[in-house]
Amino acid sequence: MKSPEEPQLVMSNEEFHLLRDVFERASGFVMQENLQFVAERRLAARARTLGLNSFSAYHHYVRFDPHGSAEINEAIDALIPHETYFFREPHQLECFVKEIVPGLLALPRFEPRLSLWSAGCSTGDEAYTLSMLLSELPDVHGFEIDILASDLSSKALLHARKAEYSLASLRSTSPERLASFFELATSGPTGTRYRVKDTFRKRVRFGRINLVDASALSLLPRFDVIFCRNVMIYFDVGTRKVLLDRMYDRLKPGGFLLLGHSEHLLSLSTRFSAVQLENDLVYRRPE
Amino acid sequence: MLEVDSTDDARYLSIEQDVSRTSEQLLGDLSDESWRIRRLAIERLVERPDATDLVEPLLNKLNLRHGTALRNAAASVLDRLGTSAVDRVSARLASNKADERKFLVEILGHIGGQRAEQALIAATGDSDVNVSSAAIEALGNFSSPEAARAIHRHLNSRFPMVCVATLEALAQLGSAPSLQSLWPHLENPYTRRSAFKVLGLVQHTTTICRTAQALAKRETREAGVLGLSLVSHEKLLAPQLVSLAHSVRKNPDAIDFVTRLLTSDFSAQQSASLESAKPDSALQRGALVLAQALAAPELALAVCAAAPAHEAEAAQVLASLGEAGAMTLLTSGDALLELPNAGRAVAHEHLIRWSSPALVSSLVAWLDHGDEELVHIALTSLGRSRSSEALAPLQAALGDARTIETAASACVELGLYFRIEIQAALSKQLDVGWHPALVRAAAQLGNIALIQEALSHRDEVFRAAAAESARLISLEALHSALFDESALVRRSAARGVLQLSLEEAGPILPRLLADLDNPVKVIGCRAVVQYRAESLVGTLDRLTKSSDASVVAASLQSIAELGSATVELLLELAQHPDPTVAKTALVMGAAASEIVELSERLLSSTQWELRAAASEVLGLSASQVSPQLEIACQLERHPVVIERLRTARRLISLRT
Repeated sequence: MKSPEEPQLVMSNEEFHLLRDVFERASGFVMQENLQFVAERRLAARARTLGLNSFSAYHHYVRFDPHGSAEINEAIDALIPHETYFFREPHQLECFVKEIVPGLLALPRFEPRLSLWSAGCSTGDEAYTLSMLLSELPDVHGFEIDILASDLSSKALLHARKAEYSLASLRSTSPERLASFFELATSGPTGTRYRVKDTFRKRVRFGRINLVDASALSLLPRFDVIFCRNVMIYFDVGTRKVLLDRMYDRLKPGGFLLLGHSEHLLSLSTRFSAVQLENDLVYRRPE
Repeated sequence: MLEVDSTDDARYLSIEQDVSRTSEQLLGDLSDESWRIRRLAIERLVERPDATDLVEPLLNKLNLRHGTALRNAAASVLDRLGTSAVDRVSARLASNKADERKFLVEILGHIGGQRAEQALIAATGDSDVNVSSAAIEALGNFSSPEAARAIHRHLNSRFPMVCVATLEALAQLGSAPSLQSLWPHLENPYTRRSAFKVLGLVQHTTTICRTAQALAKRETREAGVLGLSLVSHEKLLAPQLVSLAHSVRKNPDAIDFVTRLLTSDFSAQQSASLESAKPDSALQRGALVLAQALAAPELALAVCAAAPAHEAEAAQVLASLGEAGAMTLLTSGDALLELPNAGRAVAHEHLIRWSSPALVSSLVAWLDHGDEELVHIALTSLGRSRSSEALAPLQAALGDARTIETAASACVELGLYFRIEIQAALSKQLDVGWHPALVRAAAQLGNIALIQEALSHRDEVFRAAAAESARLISLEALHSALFDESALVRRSAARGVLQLSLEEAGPILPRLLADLDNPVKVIGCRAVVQYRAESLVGTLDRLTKSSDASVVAASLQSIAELGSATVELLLELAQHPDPTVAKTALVMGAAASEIVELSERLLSSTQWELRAAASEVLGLSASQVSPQLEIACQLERHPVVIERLRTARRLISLRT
């Protein structure tokens, strides 16, 4: 907690732009101009932790200090919202379960394996949701399910691996699903927390992947479906184009790319085919 | 145990804290009755900027009437002052006191260098036999043809003492005289020991026969052993070893005799006195050759006792004693614990190397020993025993927190022969509770289900334990571990990369070099060399600008090992603020004339490690003894650097 005598750190426009450039170069993440006040508040806490008394000093630290790279991660961690929850955007999930997966299962394949990537998985809610949904599909039984969940934030990944959630994360989870997929972790004055059952947890592997890091993405396998929902909103147009190209390369022919409801590929990529399914508009790499 | 007098202690502390102590006071301290204070005074005097002005007063203290302690302390300071004292020490050789001249000769021998050598060559002709003998013996440390010629001239002296000094100097120099001139000395009881030593320098059937002849007789056998001290173990032929064994066995106490020679160092250390006489290293080395010839397993413990002075030779002889030697060590009880550290290390290595089913029951008996180190050696050896009887004791050790790590590693070794049984033992223990060592062992033995489970574990230590073996599941699993948010896991996965094929590793290498964690980058640098990924030299080059010195040193090393280090890079990094980086650059660039030039300048660096590295480079590459090197020899005070400078000068002198 900030002590009363501590002066308020003020971020000038120039400091904002300098820091924005550093973060963008490192991760592709772009601080929105209209959210400068949020950046000011959150980064002031980081600067104070490091004993720095201005954002200029903070900028110098992240650029030139030997621990600058680590601090960039901390800063991005502080700036990116980790808000997510289980069974979010049910229309899209229904489309995934009822149309996309059956379509994929019908494709000829060498091995009974279904691989998914939750890119920008935050605290893992989406990845675990996919694991749970697939377990409800009898046609998938006998298939090896591999779900990669990646994020840039180490803290979010730590949370995800722990797989324990408060009721806020479960606000769209039905009581039946809560009983089937979760077990009680803690219950007390600090609140009730539920843990994802091991069966559903073990199918998800996590990794800290910077989506703008080409060498990292080149090591990933090809996926049947990539979930990249509400991630590209943090990148500028140029970075989005590059990222979409890489996502395309990481999809199997006939594989699907699912974006957030407010996101689209207009003027970003022409390589994908837009497919209007009964419940949603999705993008597909042509077979 | 050293006893420290409390009044000594107080005096020592007060002198130690008195930083303003004058040269006169320090010179006075050289005669203090406490050796600690004398040593402190020596160190302080050597460090003084006006140290060279003290040569005369120090020389005045060499007279025996001042007492031995003061004389030795003054000599120590003169030794350490090096070549800056040579001329004034040499001038005193005109003294009419023989004992003083002898002492001066010894000091010149310690100081070394060309001017000291010339003075010593002149002193070999001293009218006093003690002085000339001392000069000859001192010249034995000068590896120059001129010194060798001066020594050889005295081999036929009419004074036996001079002959002995000559033979010892030749042995020291490794310069063999003609057999014709040596032979008479082998018959002379006064010169025999030294003559046999020199005989060992001549690798010829005649000399081995003559040595064997000496070994057969009680009165000459010790001299015969000395004859073996300079013989190269590798060059001895099997029939020659048999001949030596037969000769020494003519004495009924052959084994006891060799044991006594081998354990002399050991006994000296057992007496726990700093002043105890130095063991005869040459005798010990000869005795090792005899032990190899005798091939008697009962000598195993004694062979280990010789390890402090002759580690490599002791290990080699012990290896020739094989499993029977290991059994002797195992049954020697607490005697093994009383060996000096180097001896224990050689013994332990031998036990692990020669472990076999026959040793299992003795090894199991060790598990109840109170000594932790012995228990760990026993467990490691059980792992190498190839015996099913080792399973049960190892399983029991897996349940003990003190031994679980070693037992788990031993299980991996034994698992090469009893995979199913060991997997079962590990699984049973894993059912009781997970431990990183158990997970690592089970993963290394290919427990796929466990690797899979561990890789998705919440706790990073278990993911790290399995990550190195992730490739056993799939390349994808290893890739995934490389993306783990925990550096611990990524380091382990990076080590796993080193086990991949070239095709599999190639695409991963840039990832390792780009990792945020410096130890992962360092492993990446190693991997680049292992897979000869020349295309990544540019990335390595960028890593040389890293703020982490370990990354800079590793990337530089890799660039150099790939043969891509430019002189510019080496020069730049040779001036890096981190001495490890600078040293790496200097040593890696020793063949470049620019680095040799820089090394001469670095002889005046404030960091002793750099001065030492620079001396090493000059020893390797300099074409002549430069003025900078001469000055450094005079001014240097750090013992390690002094040693390197002396070596460098000797190497350069030999070349020129």
